[in-house]
Amino acid sequence: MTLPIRLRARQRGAFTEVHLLMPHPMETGFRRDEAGHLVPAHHICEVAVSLDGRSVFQASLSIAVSSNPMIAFRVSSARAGQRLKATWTDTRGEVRSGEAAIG
Amino acid sequence: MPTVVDDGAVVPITVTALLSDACEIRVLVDVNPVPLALHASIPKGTDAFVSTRIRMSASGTVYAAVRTNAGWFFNAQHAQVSTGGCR
Repeated sequence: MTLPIRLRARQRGAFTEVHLLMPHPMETGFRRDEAGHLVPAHHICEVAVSLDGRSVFQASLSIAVSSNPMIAFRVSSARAGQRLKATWTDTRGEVRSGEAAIG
Repeated sequence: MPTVVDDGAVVPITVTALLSDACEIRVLVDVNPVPLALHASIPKGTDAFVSTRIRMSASGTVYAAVRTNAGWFFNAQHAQVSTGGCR
């Protein structure tokens, strides 16, 4: 089981920078375990972030994104106190979310 | 992004574009078995900016492509990778 998304949003003048940290192994399918068997691919494929219910960011991730992915993006139309909600879906259909308020 | 990378498993990259009508950002690595690393949709009100950490299997070129109403704009950066990230 993986941990929920950690979200941090900070206002920086004209824009708000949002950082997402998603604990996930992001297995590529090319790695071998100690016994020499290939470890099946298992990675986050979709990430969606909404701000008070309105979509502000959406991304598709491949195996080329590092384990425990960190993604940062900037929103120019956000105010302090608005709620951000992030959700990822991985290749096994697991879903995890996280929420935070803009500070 | 750095031009010399010790560990190909964690390569920090940032894509920024000063294009007002950007709607999509893609990050590609030419040497990877799966070249498309990230594909982000940028709705109105979100800046053309993405920062993340990617894997590179060997020394190669990272391409950042931004789509606007006028078409695709891209830039590239080569990086020397000491240890590949396909582990």
